[in-house]
Amino acid sequence: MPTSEVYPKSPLVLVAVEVRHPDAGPLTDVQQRQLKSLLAPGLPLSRPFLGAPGLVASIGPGSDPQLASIQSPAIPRFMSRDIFTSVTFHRDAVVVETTSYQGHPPLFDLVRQVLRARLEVGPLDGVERVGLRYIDEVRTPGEGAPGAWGLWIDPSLLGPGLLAGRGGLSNDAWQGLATYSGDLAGRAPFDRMSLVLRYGVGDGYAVAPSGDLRRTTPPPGPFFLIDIDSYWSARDVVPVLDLDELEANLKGLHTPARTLFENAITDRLRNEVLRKHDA
Amino acid sequence: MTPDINMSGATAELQLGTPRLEASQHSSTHPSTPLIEDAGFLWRRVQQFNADTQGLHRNTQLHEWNDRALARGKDAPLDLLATLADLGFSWRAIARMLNVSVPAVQKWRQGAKVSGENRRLLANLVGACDLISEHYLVSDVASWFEMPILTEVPITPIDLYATGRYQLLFEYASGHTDTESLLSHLDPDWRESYRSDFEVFRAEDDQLSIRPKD
Repeated sequence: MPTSEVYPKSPLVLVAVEVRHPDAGPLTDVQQRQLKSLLAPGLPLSRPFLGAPGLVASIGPGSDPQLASIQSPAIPRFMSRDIFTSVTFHRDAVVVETTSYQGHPPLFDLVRQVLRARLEVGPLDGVERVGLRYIDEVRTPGEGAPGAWGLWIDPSLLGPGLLAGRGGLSNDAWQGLATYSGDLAGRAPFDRMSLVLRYGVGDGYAVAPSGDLRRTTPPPGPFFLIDIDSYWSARDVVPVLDLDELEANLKGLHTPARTLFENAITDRLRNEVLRKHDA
Repeated sequence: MTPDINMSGATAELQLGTPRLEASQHSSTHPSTPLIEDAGFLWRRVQQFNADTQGLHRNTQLHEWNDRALARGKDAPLDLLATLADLGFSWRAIARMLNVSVPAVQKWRQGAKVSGENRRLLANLVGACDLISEHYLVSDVASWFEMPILTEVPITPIDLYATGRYQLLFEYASGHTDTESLLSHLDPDWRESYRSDFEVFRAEDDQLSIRPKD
């Protein structure tokens, strides 16, 4: 059931593409300025990423234990003007993410542009992992009470939630994890892929509304999480990063992820919720 | 398959033949955007732990506020009023936060007797300002109290204080809550209540203009 349809009311709240590579060290100031210039047309805003601060404890004789907060170095990150899309350049990975998904062709084009820019400012020794992650918060209209997910989600994902109704209980939260693997239509070593599906009911949000990227923020409430991480990782060899090959692999990772998502939801959700346009 | 059951004291441990499937066993595609669920399968435990620590934090905040209010209670009511005025509060804002009339505040200022209950209210307010400015490093605390929590939503810390939502006030000051959650605590329908039917856009002449939303 693969499709390229972008639903008007898509439950996708975050899509991330991560290309992991051997440690290339931190980008110099000159490299960062070059990247900013190269990415300016689509990602003109420089917003360095600050990881969560850590704590260091100092303990010694004759003094009370001291806790000090330490902040890890800022990581170069560039964002679109609407703050829906960003690219982060880690020492060992390039991550493109968006909270406003317009389909995979424009996303993969952006990944290509970003990596071309990255390679222009400094070499990468290869590619170790390519991941494509889709995080969906499925929210349903008023009648979709927490116990009524069966109307919207394929029963194969409802697991112990189904038992709740039989016992007169409400299933407040649970999560499941399934892993899959399959063929990837590329030459070795790009011939096998894996996929992790995390799913279950939750309350509030899966992607924090307070994050640096803007996201559509509905009122907090029950949602069904469908979090699909489709990836390839190097096993025996670390191949060269070739942009054409990378794009083909991303397409190869996208197809099973999309098929899985489409099989995870019901036609009713597709037709009555996801395809519904604003009045 | 028969599980081995190891009984050790009060603990029973089941060792099943099939290894447990843990999310952490799998490398993940890591966005920079924080994922609430990514910690994922520990979510419930984390949520419970978070609730416990939040409760502890709230209690600590309230205890500290109480201590500071008690210390401020030793000051004369006129001095407390002068402190609030020096901080930049208007008489109207003070009256609103104490739930008394503006003329009542003006009378206190002119030397009228302040009841014990109102003296305590004054001390509480000054104590809260002390806590927020010293502990949470909020500069110019009076204008902070007047600042809307979210653009286009006319709710300020003054409203939180006046309606007795002290815990939310301190959490907001400390940065331990995000504005959306805070407003949802106050009014679950705030998005609808304060929704604007208009939006700002950049017109053809490159000037900012306003138009009805579609």
